[in-house]
Amino acid sequence: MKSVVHTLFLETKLDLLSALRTPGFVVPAVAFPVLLYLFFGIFMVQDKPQSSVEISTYTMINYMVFGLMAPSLFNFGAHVAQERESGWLELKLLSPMPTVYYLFAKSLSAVAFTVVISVLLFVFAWLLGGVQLDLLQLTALLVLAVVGTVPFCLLGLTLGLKFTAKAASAITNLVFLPMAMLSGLWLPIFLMPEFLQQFAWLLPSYHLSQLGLACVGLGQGYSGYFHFFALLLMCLVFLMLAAFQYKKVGSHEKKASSLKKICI
Amino acid sequence: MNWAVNLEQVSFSYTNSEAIRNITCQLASGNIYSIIGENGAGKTTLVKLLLGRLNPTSGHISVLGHQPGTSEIKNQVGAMLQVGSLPSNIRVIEFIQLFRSYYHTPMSWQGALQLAELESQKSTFFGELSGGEKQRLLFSLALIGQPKLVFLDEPTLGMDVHMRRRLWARIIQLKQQGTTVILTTHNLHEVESVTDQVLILRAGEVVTHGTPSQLKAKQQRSELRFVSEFSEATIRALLPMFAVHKAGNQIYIATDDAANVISILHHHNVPMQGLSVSPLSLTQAFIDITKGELS
Repeated sequence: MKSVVHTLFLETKLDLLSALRTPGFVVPAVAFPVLLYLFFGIFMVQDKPQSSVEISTYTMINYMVFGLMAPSLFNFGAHVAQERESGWLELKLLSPMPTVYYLFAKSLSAVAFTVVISVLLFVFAWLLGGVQLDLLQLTALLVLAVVGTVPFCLLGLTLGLKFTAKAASAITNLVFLPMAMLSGLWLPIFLMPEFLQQFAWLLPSYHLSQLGLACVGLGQGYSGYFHFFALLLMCLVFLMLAAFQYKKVGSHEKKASSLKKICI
Repeated sequence: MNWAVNLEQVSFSYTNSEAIRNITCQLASGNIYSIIGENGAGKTTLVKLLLGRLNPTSGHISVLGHQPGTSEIKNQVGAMLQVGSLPSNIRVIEFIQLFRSYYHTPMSWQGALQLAELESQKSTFFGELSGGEKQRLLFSLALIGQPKLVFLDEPTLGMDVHMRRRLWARIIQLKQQGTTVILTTHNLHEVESVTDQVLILRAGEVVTHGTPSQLKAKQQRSELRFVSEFSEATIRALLPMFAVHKAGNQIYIATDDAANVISILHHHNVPMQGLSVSPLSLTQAFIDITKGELS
């Protein structure tokens, strides 16, 4: 048990260190959601005193979801593809370490980023936006953020196993940005054309943000259970896709041939 | 007999091609084996099968008495593959600590650093190491679990002459400790003096095997070498019946009639500086064997 914890700790530490030593990953992953929140959730609403707190809370939840998406999708999507292509993943797969440790460490790494981003958003929302949430609400949001990384980690893993390193970065961006936009994380979906609004139902980020809004009493009419089960269903779909892709990477076709015997 | 590796009628096919064709062989424990073959001969596929990274299409593989790829076997097997790159922003000591945590009975981190000869660079990032230093680290990581069987793929790639010598000495030491070593390499000159057995692979089949001396003796020929400014093509045109090969400005000719070859070259006024006739090298034996198989 001790060695399991020790290996997991070192595996997570190295994954985190590798990410933290890559400014090109850390800066956008952490700064982007926080800066966008400060701009759209705090400064842009200061001239609307009657609704500014509500808007700041609403945007805080949406940018929390936006913030957790990037480390989850990219740490799995782009990074798994890179590690697979460079042979680093192969070396780990040849070692006695179970593959699940590698995936778990990457998830923990994404969770660490999620927690930092969420806490930063909570602090700015409280200090600059006047958002007052009780401890239960903050805990619920933090737990939601941590659990909410799962579908994006699974989706990222599918992309990382499917595409080459170069393609995976581009495709992860292609998934990440439209997903954030169509889920109403940047702009409330009711402001978008009606046909675009329908896409939100298919996106985990939309259901996650709705669950987050429900936690602070800003839900939009649908039951939290509905969004929870929608999210669960998506997790299962992404899990199946990732498992299929993992199997496909090592698959082969059977063929028969003739016998040759050599004894040395 | 205690087999480190046992293959029984093992075949493996990728979607469109048969990479390994019904190989049956046993490799004894505590020996150094070299698997050689041209590109695409099936060396990497065979190693992946032995490491449990691929499952045979048919046949049975046993490594140290068990199915390859299980956690128990992975604890007793080390592998140094031709990895493009490890994460460049991780330090040497961090890799060593991580890999130590994977194994039941790892060597000490000091021992691993010493093996890699990177004691003074333990805090250096992988991206800042030279090609040879990276290879040394990978060698150390392959041995960190103190394996009974180790796979080394082109282990001396990028290393200087002195380091190569030390690495081969270390490989011989591994053998003396009872470790089975399986090498895949193109550098036949280097493995000739350390390997116990050579397996020559072509198109997924083991076309021949034996000690380096046995393989060279099979060819019953000698190697004629000299320095010449003449191109390989020119010499080959003069000696169409013989295997001619040029490396640098050194010409190598495998022949069963050295006197006749020298006479022909004299007749055509080909200068032959530093002319020597010696028993066939493993490289030339390999070329002859694979060419013979092809014809």
